Amino acid sequence: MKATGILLLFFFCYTGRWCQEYSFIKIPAGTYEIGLKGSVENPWRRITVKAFSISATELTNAEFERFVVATGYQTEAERFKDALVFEPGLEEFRWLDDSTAYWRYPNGITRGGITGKMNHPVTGISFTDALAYCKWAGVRLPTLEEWEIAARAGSATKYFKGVTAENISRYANIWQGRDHLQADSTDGFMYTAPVARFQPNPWGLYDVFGNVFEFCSGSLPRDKGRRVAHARGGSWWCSKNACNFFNAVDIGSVNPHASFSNLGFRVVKDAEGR
Amino acid sequence: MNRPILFLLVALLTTATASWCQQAMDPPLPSRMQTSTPSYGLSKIKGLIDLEQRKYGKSFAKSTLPTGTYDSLTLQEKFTYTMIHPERYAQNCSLIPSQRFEPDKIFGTLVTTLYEHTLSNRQVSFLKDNRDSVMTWITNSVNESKKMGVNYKNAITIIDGWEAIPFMINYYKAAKNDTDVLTTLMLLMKQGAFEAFLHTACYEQLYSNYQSAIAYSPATEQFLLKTAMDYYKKKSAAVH
Repeated sequence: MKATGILLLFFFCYTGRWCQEYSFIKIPAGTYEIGLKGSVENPWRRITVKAFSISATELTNAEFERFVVATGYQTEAERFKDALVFEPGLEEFRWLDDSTAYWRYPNGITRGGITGKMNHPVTGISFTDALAYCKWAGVRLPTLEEWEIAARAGSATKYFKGVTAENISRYANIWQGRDHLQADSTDGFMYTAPVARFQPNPWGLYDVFGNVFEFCSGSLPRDKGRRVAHARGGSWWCSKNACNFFNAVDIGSVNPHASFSNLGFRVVKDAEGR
Repeated sequence: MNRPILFLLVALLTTATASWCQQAMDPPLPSRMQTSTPSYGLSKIKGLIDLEQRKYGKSFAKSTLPTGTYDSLTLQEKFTYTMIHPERYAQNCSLIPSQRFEPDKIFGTLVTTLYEHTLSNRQVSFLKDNRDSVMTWITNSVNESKKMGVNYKNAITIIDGWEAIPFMINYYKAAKNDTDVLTTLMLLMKQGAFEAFLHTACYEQLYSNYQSAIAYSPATEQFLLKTAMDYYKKKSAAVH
């Protein structure tokens, strides 16, 4: 009996460890090409980075819930009631104020919560909230450069190998409607999709394009010294007719306290530990 | 020299040099993102914004003026506030790189985001509720400064200010490289569903994709100015 208990304990420890390791992709130290020739804000260049491990998926509602339960953390949207939400019928780039919205109700209470969506990426959180999670979990956000290296997976173009503007919907949960006046669920999802539902990039990262914009650390010359958050990769809201941000070159900017239902993150840990 | 004085001089010189270097290194704001600043009650408005920002920290969009303070402003002061301090967070991808940097293009849309923020509902309502005054204030400000920033152009599209078309055309003729004036004229014609514009190649090319642009050419310029003036005449005739 005692032996069985020890065996079970060992089994759970082992599988738990395995799962944790499985969810991170190790990116070796080295020199990588990033940027794109002709891009003003993200020009082509070679950079050298230390090894790091990046999560294969975006952080889920379930993972964020563990943080909230453990710490009692209140997100900025809960404190300031200033989250922005989306519903079909809005002009391009218009969002709605909804004081009821936060990560459990990313598009406000009337548009439904995350019940049954615990494996979807957490949204309705700000950059500041993402940093708070990282501090608690002993991880960090990827830098702008790390994110791009991992997203491109060695490709020299703005997409990872296999992706084209025509077939990207196999790899990314994006908006396929002509505009945002009508709902679009062509790929089965109007808002977020469960993480890892679409095909991964060659290094095993899911949803680097689409689903949710992913917060990164770092700054850009256009910030002009102001504190600005940057998120990359496009989101379920993004369409080829609107922003077209589902690629590895464009870099967005958002107030670090803003909470949108298309903003989330994935985490990184240094390869040697933190 | 006295040691403290020497130290002070070195410190001052270092700060001044650093500040100069920073200014010299800052890339200029792309012309499509440059804004105009109204003069009405400007120092008062800046003071009030500064007061709110101190409460929350510089970049916090919660630095919107509280309802009581906002309501106590004169209409002109509200205009200044709206033009220099958009209150609502803008989404991450609303500043599209190609729209900022491609020269010699005429775009279908204007840049609507200023430093990660855009106009809030109460600011949009204010502009619409005071459209005649807004047009007058914009006209006066542009006449003074000889510049029409993107915030003014956005305001004109928000209020559907077709009456400002002749003024904008005159402004454009004086400041020819500002092709966003042509964009503003097109947006007004689009809003007004002006048939003579809706059935053109320009419209087809520009309004199927938010990022679309067409190459500038004198012929296109002349066509757009003439069509906009025709639109103005039609609207005027309908009113009178």
